[in-house]
Amino acid sequence: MSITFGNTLLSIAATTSTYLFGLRIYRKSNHKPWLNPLYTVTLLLFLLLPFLHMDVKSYEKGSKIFSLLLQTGIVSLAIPIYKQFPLIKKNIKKITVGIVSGGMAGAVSSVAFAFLMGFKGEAVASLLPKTATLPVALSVSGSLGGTAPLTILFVLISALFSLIVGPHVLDGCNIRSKTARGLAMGISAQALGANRSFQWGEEEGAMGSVGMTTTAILVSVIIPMGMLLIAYL
Amino acid sequence: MLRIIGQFMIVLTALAAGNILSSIFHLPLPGSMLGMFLLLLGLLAGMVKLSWVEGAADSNLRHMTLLFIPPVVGLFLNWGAVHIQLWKVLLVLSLSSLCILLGTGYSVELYEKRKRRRNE
Repeated sequence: MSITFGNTLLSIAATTSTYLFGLRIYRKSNHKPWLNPLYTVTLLLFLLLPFLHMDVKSYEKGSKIFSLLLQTGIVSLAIPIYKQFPLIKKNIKKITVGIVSGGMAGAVSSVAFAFLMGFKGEAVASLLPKTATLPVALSVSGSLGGTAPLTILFVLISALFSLIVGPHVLDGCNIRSKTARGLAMGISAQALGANRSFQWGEEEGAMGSVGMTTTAILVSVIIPMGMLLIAYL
Repeated sequence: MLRIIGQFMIVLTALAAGNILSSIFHLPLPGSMLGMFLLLLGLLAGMVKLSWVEGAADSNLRHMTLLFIPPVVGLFLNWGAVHIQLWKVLLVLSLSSLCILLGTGYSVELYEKRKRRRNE
Protein backbone atom coordinates (compact mmCIF):
# COMPACT_ATOMS: atom_id res chain seq x y z
CA MET A 1 0.00 0.00 0.00
CA SER A 2 2.67 2.48 1.05
CA ILE A 3 4.73 1.57 -2.03
CA THR A 4 1.78 2.32 -4.33
CA PHE A 5 1.15 5.58 -2.54
CA GLY A 6 4.77 6.71 -2.80
CA ASN A 7 4.78 5.63 -6.42
CA THR A 8 1.67 7.70 -7.20
CA LEU A 9 3.08 10.70 -5.41
CA LEU A 10 6.37 10.43 -7.28
CA SER A 11 4.67 10.04 -10.68
CA ILE A 12 2.44 13.04 -10.07
CA ALA A 13 5.28 15.18 -8.71
CA ALA A 14 7.61 14.29 -11.59
CA THR A 15 4.94 14.90 -14.25
CA THR A 16 3.59 18.13 -12.78
CA SER A 17 6.96 19.71 -11.99
CA THR A 18 8.40 18.95 -15.43
CA TYR A 19 5.18 20.30 -16.94
CA LEU A 20 5.41 23.57 -15.00
CA PHE A 21 9.05 23.83 -16.06
CA GLY A 22 8.16 23.14 -19.72
CA LEU A 23 5.29 25.63 -19.58
CA ARG A 24 7.68 28.32 -18.31
CA ILE A 25 10.11 27.73 -21.13
CA TYR A 26 7.23 27.84 -23.60
CA ARG A 27 5.94 31.16 -22.21
CA LYS A 28 9.43 32.67 -21.97
CA SER A 29 10.06 31.76 -25.61
CA ASN A 30 6.90 33.63 -26.63
CA HIS A 31 4.97 30.45 -27.52
CA LYS A 32 7.35 28.99 -30.10
CA PRO A 33 5.33 26.03 -31.48
CA TRP A 34 8.21 23.52 -31.30
CA LEU A 35 8.70 24.30 -27.59
CA ASN A 36 5.14 23.16 -26.80
CA PRO A 37 5.27 21.53 -23.32
CA LEU A 38 3.97 18.30 -24.84
CA TYR A 39 7.30 17.74 -26.63
CA THR A 40 9.74 19.18 -24.09
CA VAL A 41 8.07 17.54 -21.10
CA THR A 42 7.78 14.15 -22.78
CA LEU A 43 11.49 14.25 -23.60
CA LEU A 44 12.40 15.43 -20.08
CA LEU A 45 10.33 12.71 -18.41
CA PHE A 46 11.66 10.07 -20.76
CA LEU A 47 15.18 11.00 -19.66
CA LEU A 48 14.25 11.57 -16.00
CA LEU A 49 12.25 8.42 -15.19
CA PRO A 50 15.20 5.97 -15.19
CA PHE A 51 16.91 8.15 -12.57
CA LEU A 52 13.80 7.91 -10.37
CA HIS A 53 13.97 4.10 -10.70
CA MET A 54 10.58 4.05 -12.40
CA ASP A 55 9.63 1.64 -15.16
CA VAL A 56 6.68 1.75 -17.52
CA LYS A 57 4.31 -0.19 -15.28
CA SER A 58 4.89 1.85 -12.14
CA TYR A 59 4.69 5.15 -14.03
CA GLU A 60 1.47 4.13 -15.74
CA LYS A 61 -0.05 3.03 -12.45
CA GLY A 62 1.17 6.14 -10.68
CA SER A 63 -0.20 8.54 -13.28
CA LYS A 64 -3.78 7.17 -13.28
CA ILE A 65 -5.05 10.45 -11.82
CA PHE A 66 -4.22 12.19 -15.10
CA SER A 67 -6.49 9.89 -17.06
CA LEU A 68 -9.32 10.80 -14.67
CA LEU A 69 -8.57 14.48 -15.27
CA LEU A 70 -8.56 13.81 -19.02
CA GLN A 71 -12.11 12.50 -18.64
CA THR A 72 -13.25 15.50 -16.60
CA GLY A 73 -11.55 17.60 -19.29
CA ILE A 74 -13.84 16.05 -21.87
CA VAL A 75 -16.85 16.74 -19.63
CA SER A 76 -15.58 20.33 -19.30
CA LEU A 77 -15.90 20.80 -23.07
CA ALA A 78 -19.59 21.37 -22.35
CA ILE A 79 -18.66 24.88 -21.19
CA PRO A 80 -17.11 26.29 -24.43
CA ILE A 81 -19.88 24.57 -26.41
CA TYR A 82 -22.54 26.11 -24.17
CA LYS A 83 -20.96 29.57 -24.44
CA GLN A 84 -20.90 29.35 -28.25
CA PHE A 85 -24.24 27.61 -28.57
CA PRO A 86 -25.99 30.43 -30.50
CA LEU A 87 -23.07 30.53 -32.94
CA ILE A 88 -23.20 26.76 -33.37
CA LYS A 89 -26.96 26.82 -33.96
CA LYS A 90 -26.55 29.55 -36.57
CA ASN A 91 -23.84 27.62 -38.41
CA ILE A 92 -25.20 24.11 -37.98
CA LYS A 93 -25.34 23.35 -41.73
CA LYS A 94 -21.78 24.51 -42.31
CA ILE A 95 -20.56 22.48 -39.35
CA THR A 96 -22.36 19.35 -40.59
CA VAL A 97 -20.84 19.77 -44.06
CA GLY A 98 -17.35 20.10 -42.55
CA ILE A 99 -17.62 17.19 -40.15
CA VAL A 100 -19.20 14.78 -42.62
CA SER A 101 -16.66 15.49 -45.37
CA GLY A 102 -13.71 15.54 -42.97
CA GLY A 103 -14.80 12.37 -41.22
CA MET A 104 -15.47 10.53 -44.49
CA ALA A 105 -12.13 11.66 -45.92
CA GLY A 106 -10.43 10.41 -42.78
CA ALA A 107 -12.14 7.01 -42.62
CA VAL A 108 -11.87 6.24 -46.35
CA SER A 109 -8.26 7.41 -46.67
CA SER A 110 -7.00 5.60 -43.58
CA VAL A 111 -8.57 2.28 -44.60
CA ALA A 112 -7.37 2.68 -48.20
CA PHE A 113 -3.78 3.53 -47.21
CA ALA A 114 -3.79 0.78 -44.58
CA PHE A 115 -4.68 -1.84 -47.19
CA LEU A 116 -2.10 -0.44 -49.61
CA MET A 117 0.54 -0.81 -46.88
CA GLY A 118 -0.64 -4.35 -46.10
CA PHE A 119 -1.96 -3.72 -42.58
CA LYS A 120 -3.79 -6.70 -41.08
CA GLY A 121 -7.08 -6.95 -39.15
CA GLU A 122 -5.89 -5.94 -35.69
CA ALA A 123 -4.06 -2.87 -37.00
CA VAL A 124 -7.00 -1.77 -39.18
CA ALA A 125 -9.36 -2.19 -36.21
CA SER A 126 -7.09 0.04 -34.14
CA LEU A 127 -6.81 2.51 -37.02
CA LEU A 128 -10.52 3.08 -37.77
CA PRO A 129 -11.48 4.98 -34.59
CA LYS A 130 -8.30 7.09 -34.57
CA THR A 131 -10.07 10.37 -35.32
CA ALA A 132 -11.95 10.08 -32.02
CA THR A 133 -10.49 11.41 -28.81
CA LEU A 134 -8.36 8.92 -26.86
CA PRO A 135 -10.87 7.49 -24.33
CA VAL A 136 -13.51 7.09 -27.06
CA ALA A 137 -11.07 5.57 -29.54
CA LEU A 138 -9.89 3.06 -26.93
CA SER A 139 -13.37 1.78 -26.15
CA VAL A 140 -14.40 1.56 -29.82
CA SER A 141 -11.17 -0.13 -30.89
CA GLY A 142 -11.56 -2.63 -28.05
CA SER A 143 -14.99 -3.63 -29.34
CA LEU A 144 -13.62 -3.97 -32.90
CA GLY A 145 -10.76 -6.24 -31.83
CA GLY A 146 -8.00 -3.64 -31.95
CA THR A 147 -5.27 -3.45 -29.32
CA ALA A 148 -4.74 -0.67 -26.78
CA PRO A 149 -1.05 0.11 -27.54
CA LEU A 150 -1.74 0.35 -31.28
CA THR A 151 -4.79 2.56 -30.73
CA ILE A 152 -2.88 4.92 -28.45
CA LEU A 153 -0.05 5.01 -30.99
CA PHE A 154 -2.38 5.83 -33.90
CA VAL A 155 -4.47 8.41 -32.05
CA LEU A 156 -1.50 10.25 -30.58
CA ILE A 157 0.68 10.21 -33.69
CA SER A 158 -2.16 11.53 -35.88
CA ALA A 159 -3.01 14.16 -33.27
CA LEU A 160 0.63 15.27 -32.96
CA PHE A 161 1.09 15.32 -36.73
CA SER A 162 -2.06 17.40 -37.23
CA LEU A 163 -1.13 19.69 -34.36
CA ILE A 164 2.28 20.45 -35.89
CA VAL A 165 1.40 20.42 -39.59
CA GLY A 166 -2.27 21.49 -39.49
CA PRO A 167 -1.85 25.26 -39.00
CA HIS A 168 0.74 25.40 -41.82
CA VAL A 169 -1.43 23.36 -44.18
CA LEU A 170 -4.46 25.58 -43.48
CA ASP A 171 -2.36 28.73 -44.03
CA GLY A 172 -0.68 27.30 -47.13
CA CYS A 173 -3.97 26.30 -48.72
CA ASN A 174 -5.39 29.73 -47.92
CA ILE A 175 -8.19 28.35 -45.76
CA ARG A 176 -9.25 31.48 -43.86
CA SER A 177 -12.75 30.70 -42.58
CA LYS A 178 -12.81 30.55 -38.78
CA THR A 179 -15.26 27.66 -38.83
CA ALA A 180 -13.13 25.71 -41.30
CA ARG A 181 -9.92 26.19 -39.32
CA GLY A 182 -11.42 25.33 -35.94
CA LEU A 183 -13.30 22.30 -37.23
CA ALA A 184 -10.30 20.96 -39.16
CA MET A 185 -8.07 21.16 -36.07
CA GLY A 186 -10.71 19.69 -33.76
CA ILE A 187 -11.44 16.73 -36.03
CA SER A 188 -7.83 15.91 -36.89
CA ALA A 189 -6.09 16.62 -33.55
CA GLN A 190 -8.96 16.28 -31.04
CA ALA A 191 -8.37 17.92 -27.66
CA LEU A 192 -4.90 19.11 -28.66
CA GLY A 193 -6.32 20.66 -31.83
CA ALA A 194 -9.25 22.26 -30.02
CA ASN A 195 -6.74 23.72 -27.59
CA ARG A 196 -4.62 25.01 -30.48
CA SER A 197 -7.61 26.67 -32.15
CA PHE A 198 -8.40 28.61 -28.97
CA GLN A 199 -5.11 30.42 -29.64
CA TRP A 200 -6.68 31.79 -32.84
CA GLY A 201 -9.78 32.99 -30.99
CA GLU A 202 -12.96 32.05 -29.11
CA GLU A 203 -14.90 31.25 -32.29
CA GLU A 204 -12.23 28.96 -33.72
CA GLY A 205 -11.84 27.34 -30.30
CA ALA A 206 -15.56 26.62 -30.00
CA MET A 207 -15.56 25.14 -33.51
CA GLY A 208 -12.57 23.02 -32.52
CA SER A 209 -14.46 21.67 -29.51
CA VAL A 210 -17.52 21.00 -31.64
CA GLY A 211 -15.42 19.21 -34.25
CA MET A 212 -13.79 17.04 -31.65
CA THR A 213 -16.94 16.09 -29.75
CA THR A 214 -19.09 15.47 -32.82
CA THR A 215 -16.42 13.27 -34.37
CA ALA A 216 -16.15 11.30 -31.14
CA ILE A 217 -19.91 10.78 -31.09
CA LEU A 218 -20.04 9.76 -34.75
CA VAL A 219 -17.16 7.32 -34.30
CA SER A 220 -18.65 5.74 -31.21
CA VAL A 221 -22.10 5.40 -32.79
CA ILE A 222 -21.46 4.69 -36.49
CA ILE A 223 -18.57 2.22 -36.22
CA PRO A 224 -20.27 -0.22 -33.79
CA MET A 225 -23.52 0.02 -35.80
CA GLY A 226 -21.61 -0.68 -38.99
CA MET A 227 -20.07 -3.74 -37.34
CA LEU A 228 -23.53 -4.99 -36.31
CA LEU A 229 -24.72 -4.51 -39.87
CA ILE A 230 -21.75 -6.45 -41.27
CA ALA A 231 -22.33 -9.20 -38.72
CA TYR A 232 -25.96 -9.55 -39.88
CA LEU A 233 -25.02 -9.71 -43.57
CA MET B 1 -9.23 27.26 -4.25
CA LEU B 2 -12.16 25.88 -2.27
CA ARG B 3 -14.53 27.31 -4.87
CA ILE B 4 -12.64 25.56 -7.68
CA ILE B 5 -12.78 22.26 -5.80
CA GLY B 6 -16.53 22.67 -5.31
CA GLN B 7 -16.93 23.40 -9.02
CA PHE B 8 -14.78 20.42 -9.88
CA MET B 9 -17.13 18.23 -7.80
CA ILE B 10 -19.99 19.19 -10.14
CA VAL B 11 -17.92 18.22 -13.20
CA LEU B 12 -16.99 14.98 -11.45
CA THR B 13 -20.66 14.29 -10.69
CA ALA B 14 -21.50 14.72 -14.38
CA LEU B 15 -18.71 12.28 -15.25
CA ALA B 16 -19.95 9.73 -12.68
CA ALA B 17 -23.52 10.05 -13.98
CA GLY B 18 -22.23 9.52 -17.53
CA ASN B 19 -20.29 6.43 -16.47
CA ILE B 20 -23.34 4.98 -14.72
CA LEU B 21 -25.59 5.60 -17.73
CA SER B 22 -23.03 4.09 -20.08
CA SER B 23 -22.67 0.89 -18.06
CA ILE B 24 -26.38 0.43 -17.22
CA PHE B 25 -27.55 0.73 -20.83
CA HIS B 26 -24.39 -0.80 -22.37
CA LEU B 27 -24.00 2.27 -24.54
CA PRO B 28 -21.13 2.41 -27.04
CA LEU B 29 -20.45 6.01 -25.88
CA PRO B 30 -17.91 6.38 -23.07
CA GLY B 31 -18.99 7.97 -19.79
CA SER B 32 -16.99 11.15 -20.36
CA MET B 33 -18.90 11.99 -23.55
CA LEU B 34 -22.25 11.24 -21.90
CA GLY B 35 -21.17 13.37 -18.92
CA MET B 36 -20.38 16.20 -21.31
CA PHE B 37 -23.89 15.90 -22.80
CA LEU B 38 -25.51 15.82 -19.39
CA LEU B 39 -23.63 18.93 -18.30
CA LEU B 40 -24.47 20.70 -21.57
CA LEU B 41 -28.14 19.78 -21.19
CA GLY B 42 -28.07 20.99 -17.59
CA LEU B 43 -26.59 24.30 -18.67
CA LEU B 44 -29.04 24.72 -21.56
CA ALA B 45 -31.99 23.83 -19.35
CA GLY B 46 -30.80 26.31 -16.72
CA MET B 47 -30.47 23.61 -14.05
CA VAL B 48 -26.73 24.30 -13.80
CA LYS B 49 -25.46 27.89 -13.77
CA LEU B 50 -22.35 28.68 -15.83
CA SER B 51 -20.72 30.31 -12.80
CA TRP B 52 -21.01 27.02 -10.86
CA VAL B 53 -18.61 25.18 -13.16
CA GLU B 54 -16.78 27.75 -15.26
CA GLY B 55 -13.63 28.17 -13.16
CA ALA B 56 -12.87 24.46 -12.77
CA ALA B 57 -13.72 23.66 -16.38
CA ASP B 58 -11.55 26.49 -17.71
CA SER B 59 -8.49 25.44 -15.74
CA ASN B 60 -9.06 21.80 -16.67
CA LEU B 61 -9.19 22.74 -20.35
CA ARG B 62 -6.27 25.18 -20.16
CA HIS B 63 -3.97 22.44 -18.88
CA MET B 64 -5.19 19.70 -21.22
CA THR B 65 -1.62 19.35 -22.53
CA LEU B 66 -0.43 18.13 -19.11
CA LEU B 67 -2.99 15.32 -19.22
CA PHE B 68 -1.68 14.01 -22.53
CA ILE B 69 1.86 13.70 -21.24
CA PRO B 70 1.48 10.37 -19.35
CA PRO B 71 -0.01 8.47 -22.33
CA VAL B 72 2.62 9.91 -24.68
CA VAL B 73 5.44 8.99 -22.28
CA GLY B 74 3.86 5.55 -21.81
CA LEU B 75 3.80 5.13 -25.59
CA PHE B 76 7.54 5.80 -25.87
CA LEU B 77 8.37 3.56 -22.92
CA ASN B 78 6.16 0.78 -24.34
CA TRP B 79 7.76 0.90 -27.76
CA GLY B 80 8.72 -2.78 -27.63
CA ALA B 81 5.06 -3.84 -27.42
CA VAL B 82 4.23 -2.40 -30.84
CA HIS B 83 5.03 -4.86 -33.61
CA ILE B 84 4.56 -2.70 -36.64
CA GLN B 85 6.80 -0.88 -39.08
CA LEU B 86 7.05 2.72 -38.04
CA TRP B 87 7.51 4.28 -41.48
CA LYS B 88 4.31 2.63 -42.70
CA VAL B 89 2.41 3.89 -39.68
CA LEU B 90 3.74 7.41 -40.14
CA LEU B 91 2.89 7.36 -43.84
CA VAL B 92 -0.69 6.14 -43.35
CA LEU B 93 -1.38 8.47 -40.43
CA SER B 94 0.12 11.59 -41.99
CA LEU B 95 -1.64 11.06 -45.33
CA SER B 96 -5.02 10.44 -43.72
CA SER B 97 -4.56 13.40 -41.36
CA LEU B 98 -3.89 15.60 -44.40
CA CYS B 99 -7.07 14.24 -46.01
CA ILE B 100 -9.06 15.19 -42.89
CA LEU B 101 -7.57 18.68 -42.65
CA LEU B 102 -8.10 19.44 -46.34
CA GLY B 103 -11.47 17.66 -46.56
CA THR B 104 -12.86 19.69 -43.68
CA GLY B 105 -11.18 22.96 -44.62
CA TYR B 106 -12.09 22.99 -48.31
CA SER B 107 -15.65 21.73 -47.87
CA VAL B 108 -16.46 24.50 -45.38
CA GLU B 109 -14.75 27.14 -47.53
CA LEU B 110 -16.65 25.97 -50.62
CA TYR B 111 -19.91 25.97 -48.69
CA GLU B 112 -19.29 29.52 -47.47
CA LYS B 113 -18.37 30.72 -50.97
CA ARG B 114 -21.47 29.21 -52.56
CA LYS B 115 -23.66 30.71 -49.88
CA ARG B 116 -22.11 34.14 -50.34
CA ARG B 117 -22.65 33.95 -54.11
CA ARG B 118 -26.28 32.98 -53.63
CA ASN B 119 -26.81 35.92 -51.31
CA GLU B 120 -25.38 38.43 -53.77
